[in-house]
Amino acid sequence: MKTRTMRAFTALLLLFLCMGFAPPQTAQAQGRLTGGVLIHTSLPHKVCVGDSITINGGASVDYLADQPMPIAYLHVINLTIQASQGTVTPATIYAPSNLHYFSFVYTARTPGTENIVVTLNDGLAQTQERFEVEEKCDYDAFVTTVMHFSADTGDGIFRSITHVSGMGTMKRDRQGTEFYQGDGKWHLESNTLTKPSICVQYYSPPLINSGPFELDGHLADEGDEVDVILSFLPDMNKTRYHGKSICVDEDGDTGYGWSYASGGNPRLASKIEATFPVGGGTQSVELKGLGMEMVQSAGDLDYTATLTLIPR
Amino acid sequence: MNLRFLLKLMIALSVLALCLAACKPAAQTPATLQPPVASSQAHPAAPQPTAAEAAAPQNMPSGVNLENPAAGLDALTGYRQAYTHTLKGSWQAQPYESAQAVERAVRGADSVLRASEASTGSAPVAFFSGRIGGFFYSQSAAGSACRAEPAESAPADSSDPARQLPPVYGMQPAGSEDLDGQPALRYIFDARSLVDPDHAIQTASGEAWLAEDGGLLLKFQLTVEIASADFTGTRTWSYQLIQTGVDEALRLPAGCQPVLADLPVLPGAADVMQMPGFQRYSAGSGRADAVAFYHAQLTGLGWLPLPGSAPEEADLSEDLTVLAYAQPYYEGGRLLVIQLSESGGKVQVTAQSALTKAPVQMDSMDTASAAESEAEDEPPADDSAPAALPTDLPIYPGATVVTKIENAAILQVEASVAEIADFYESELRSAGWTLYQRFEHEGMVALNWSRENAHLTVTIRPAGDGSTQVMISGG
Repeated sequence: MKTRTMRAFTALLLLFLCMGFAPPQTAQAQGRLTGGVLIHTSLPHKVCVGDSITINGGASVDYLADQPMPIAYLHVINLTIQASQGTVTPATIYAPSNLHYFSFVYTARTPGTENIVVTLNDGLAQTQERFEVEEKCDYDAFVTTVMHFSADTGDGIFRSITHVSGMGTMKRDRQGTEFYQGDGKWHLESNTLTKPSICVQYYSPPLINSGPFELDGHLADEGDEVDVILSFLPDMNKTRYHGKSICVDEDGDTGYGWSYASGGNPRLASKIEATFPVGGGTQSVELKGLGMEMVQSAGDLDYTATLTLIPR
Repeated sequence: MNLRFLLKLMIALSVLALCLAACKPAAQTPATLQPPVASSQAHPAAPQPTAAEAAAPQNMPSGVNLENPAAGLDALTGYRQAYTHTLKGSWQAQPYESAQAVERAVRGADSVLRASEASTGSAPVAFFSGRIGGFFYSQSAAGSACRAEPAESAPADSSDPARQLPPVYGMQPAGSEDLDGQPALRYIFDARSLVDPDHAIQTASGEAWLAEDGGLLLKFQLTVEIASADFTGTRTWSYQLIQTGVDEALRLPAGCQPVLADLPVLPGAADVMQMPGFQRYSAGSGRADAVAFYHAQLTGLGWLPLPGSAPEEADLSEDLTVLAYAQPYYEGGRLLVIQLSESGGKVQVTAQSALTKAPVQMDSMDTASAAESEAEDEPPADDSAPAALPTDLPIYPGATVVTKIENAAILQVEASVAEIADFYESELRSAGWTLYQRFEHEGMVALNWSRENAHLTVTIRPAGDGSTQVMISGG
């Protein structure tokens, strides 16, 4: 009996030791693995109940550094995603790959501090993301537009820079619908960048104007995006002068001019239409409208417009 | 220690020794280290092989080893990587396909990643993420909203695609090439050079280019036909290391502006919120102090104040003061717009930036004239005073006056746009007005007129109900 026990012990020990030192095999792979999982999406600091956000990430599985990877063998990446205040779709992700880029959709269900946990292969690696889920679903909106305009006047190139900045608030309908509404105020300043060729000395003050804008939003059926329309409205009842342009020609004669902005035509007013992921962010947007088309047809307009939505 | 225990110990040690010997590869594998060296020249008196070397193919040809394709990257100051990986075949008897593409750029602590993947059974993924200047940025799709957060709150970057390349042993020299100005040695290899303990590789064909100086992996291509228990099909890798154009690759994508982390903030700034191209905070300063602060700080940093932004020019009479500063940004320009308002004894600061394709440059202006410009004698000093319509303004015959206020009028006319435009061009010229600008767009005509210091705009457009609308505004 003792001899048989010793033989069995020897065989088991041999088997155990050989397994430990054998070249990598599929069945033994997990014990020699290392891995990582990362979220590649910067999440908003706050989301609202009903909102859905798409979260991107990457996961990899590899042998420990001292052991090369047999390339005919595909590791399996198995991710489980858990959330305390909402639901995730899909809740598990499975891919036969050493490296896998993935995405999932998180939908907030109840207010509180959310802690999304993504676990790779039963604990080989894990990552967490924390943010607040709130009932209130309003946004602050900030808009900036810069228009760099140039045109050949026949007497040289005329260049100007115009910036429009504005801020407002867009509130979600409190009756539980998917609509947002709000307003804000825009402020415009336009500067001439070029000196008329006739002037040896020139000064032109900025042309300043301001007015209101309207905000309309709609939460997509899937709850993951907010369509936003920002409509600039002209201030019809004001003509604004702002200082005096001064030109001194080579004979020393001084001429004066006055910048002004007058009225406006609502049908020429610009509009911004943009789609944001819930939770907001900053993105480049396009100004649309007849007024913009008129300006673009009159010269070369290099413009950028940026809209920023911040949950409040 | 009794005899029985001693016997057990000896048996165990013997087993261990036997097992170690039995389980080692029979063939002596070269102890290759980075940079790769020819195996025949490597360490004639090789030390005990590592586990990695022990797992190398046993029948590999004599040649150069590429044991760690990512080795040497840490020594570079900056680089770009382009990586693709595909799978096409069947996984556990089900059709399976996967295509993955990664572009990565690294310079010091800054790195950006553009990744995409389309795989059977998974939603397609494409995103940008990057760590630049201490902030972590992400954008889910090109042109979509961009978000940022301090990099220290985001997980560290560990997405080096070179680590996904398989080790290769015994590569054969196949000449030299110049890759992006860098002399490289080309090697070829087949299935014998790959780690394949399961003998699942049917065929393999690969190439690798190593820098002549230092052995860094510059380019890699491999196609493998596999028939394993789980997967049958083709697996490919391609990889390139590029050491030029790194700064361009590290730029944020279109629509994703840098966080204004380099923007000075007022002393005592509180509740600072940073987003791409956006900063908001409050401070216990007055607006005039804030205007002076930004002028001193920003001009010191090379920003150019636009007219109206210097302390002597800024408009503090309204609820809101707006400052604008410009600076060159790569081949284009960057404009900073700062809004200052006061509330509860604090100044609220909102700064936003925008990029222009061309730098914002001003002709040499006579800023000394700014003071003179303030001393307005005409038109009225009240900058919001209405500019009345001229008393001799012609009205199109038969027109219905829809609205008429002091400086604007809207008419409804049963005539064509061209007829009305002809009328106003004729009548206003006769009244001494000069047409200085004319726009035509999709049936609409806009005429801008001047007479002495007065201006007049006439906009004529179809109203949609068969009539024509005329809008006249003065200035």
